[in-house]
Amino acid sequence: MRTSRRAFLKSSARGGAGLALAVHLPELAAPISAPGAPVEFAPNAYIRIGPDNVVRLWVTRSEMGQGVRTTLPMMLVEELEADLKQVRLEQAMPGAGFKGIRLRTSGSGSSVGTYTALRLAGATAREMLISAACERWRVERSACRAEQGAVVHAASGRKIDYGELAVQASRQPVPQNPPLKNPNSFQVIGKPQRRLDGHAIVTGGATYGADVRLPGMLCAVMSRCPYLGGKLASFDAGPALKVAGVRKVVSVKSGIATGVAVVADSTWAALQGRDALRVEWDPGPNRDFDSDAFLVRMEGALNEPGYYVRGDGDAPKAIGSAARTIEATYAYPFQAHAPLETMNCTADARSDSCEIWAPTQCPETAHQDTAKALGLPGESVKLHVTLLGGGFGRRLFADYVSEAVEISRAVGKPVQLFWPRTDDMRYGFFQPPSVDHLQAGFDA
Amino acid sequence: MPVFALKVNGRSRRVEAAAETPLLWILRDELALTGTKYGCGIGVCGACTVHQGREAVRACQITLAEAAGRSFTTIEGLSSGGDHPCQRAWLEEDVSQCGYCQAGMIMAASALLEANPHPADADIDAAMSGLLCRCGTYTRMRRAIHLAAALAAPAPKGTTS
Repeated sequence: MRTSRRAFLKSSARGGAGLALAVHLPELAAPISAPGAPVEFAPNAYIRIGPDNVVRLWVTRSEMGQGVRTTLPMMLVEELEADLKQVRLEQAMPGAGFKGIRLRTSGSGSSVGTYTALRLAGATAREMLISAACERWRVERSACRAEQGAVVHAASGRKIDYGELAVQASRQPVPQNPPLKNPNSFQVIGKPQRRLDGHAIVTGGATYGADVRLPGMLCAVMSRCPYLGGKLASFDAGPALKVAGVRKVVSVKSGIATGVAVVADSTWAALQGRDALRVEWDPGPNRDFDSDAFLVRMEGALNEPGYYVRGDGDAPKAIGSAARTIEATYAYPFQAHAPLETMNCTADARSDSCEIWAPTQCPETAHQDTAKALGLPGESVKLHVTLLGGGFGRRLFADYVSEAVEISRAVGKPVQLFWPRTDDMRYGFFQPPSVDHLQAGFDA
Repeated sequence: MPVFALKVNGRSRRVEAAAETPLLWILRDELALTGTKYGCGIGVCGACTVHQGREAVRACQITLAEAAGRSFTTIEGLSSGGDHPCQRAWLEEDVSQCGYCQAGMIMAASALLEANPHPADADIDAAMSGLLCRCGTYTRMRRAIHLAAALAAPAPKGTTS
């Protein structure tokens, strides 16, 4: 997505004190219907500076090892002229506050997709903070500059922190076209920075999805239909319920396959309960599907007529007259994405609301699916994106969120659904298999 | 359910749970020490590595009954404030990507340095090869372990700090 400098900017005081900024990008939303009509563009990035001199930044992508909880702040502070140390990270949540902005993390686009918006957010805030200082000191704009989280009046050597200017800055007119720095003068972007959340990671304090703990939370493990397109026929919960610590056994219709959930006081009890469960499956139309046989079929298809996706020059002729040729067949099987943190989700579904903690790349999808499944308005569903122990695209599917929500609703308690590694390998949105025959000719 | 006593991070703990429960789940579910991670449950990934005494062990492979009476250290108890040479070196070399496996990695690396304060590349590879990082931080980890060895070494004679 290309964003333009023609950003519409809106300032609003939030919580009564401090400078809050939302950047609105016209490309993302409906055009203004009439002059003077309220601006209805959704915010693209959101920061807040409080009197405590803390810059709060809502990170609009999921951290899964690509470093967004460091790079996004870098882009903001570059233009804001603040210190990375004064930034406190918040994680953006789907809902009205981020309506219309993308929270989905995919396509290697986290930096490119937020670069302009975050720089504009930083530049706008910086200009308003400088205006506030000029107003206070009764000096010209050109006599002041911003550096290291403060506005400086060069001639007198006076200096004032952003925190102290925050309230006054929120009353300044919003610049429609704040100047952006020339990349040649960048001091943060392009310079190596250490991970802002590194300390939490090396001390075991970082919270991934599986680390969420709620009072009264139960643990759930599922048994799912082993056939794609098959379904649950029947089950006997009796033996599972005899396992100490198992509380309930419920059928589950949502997610990647229908199944049965064993809900227990601990993960281990849930696992033991699942082992004891007796389940009958209706295999459905794919009863006989076999991935080895499918691979053989694909290999056979190499000898069938194909079609051209692109044809430049006369490749068969060139290869036929080449001095040397190399050819090879490459086969790639169905493959689980296998992030080290297996799928999991913590859900607290009540009759009139639902709160979710999920390591997900697709918070919007998870949020919408939940609201729909529970018949709740979107504002009654609160979804927290935790740290992700790897994503690799597997977490672009919210099947495990739907499962957790359905189980929590069924048992009336907060539930953490856990996928053991064997589930991760047996069920998932696997990387598709392929067989490719490649041939190349060299003229020397 | 039976009650077992064990020591974790210098503290005596009593746990009521099934005897065959893996230590991993005791740490995570009963003691709320979630720094120790689940990756496979069968001892092949190393994400749940902790110390038993000074030795690196896999918490998913030790039952509660076996753990009873023994003393364990998890990532939360490796140092006060995160100043163990491995933790400092991990930050210095910016090792982590998603970070999920890193607690286990640091516990394995710190046990290696206890046994061998100046490991060669081959020693590091041998000690760490059974631990999986899906992001692929292996080369940075190797650099960090060398750095941790240097950080842990006493200052050479004649220098002041």
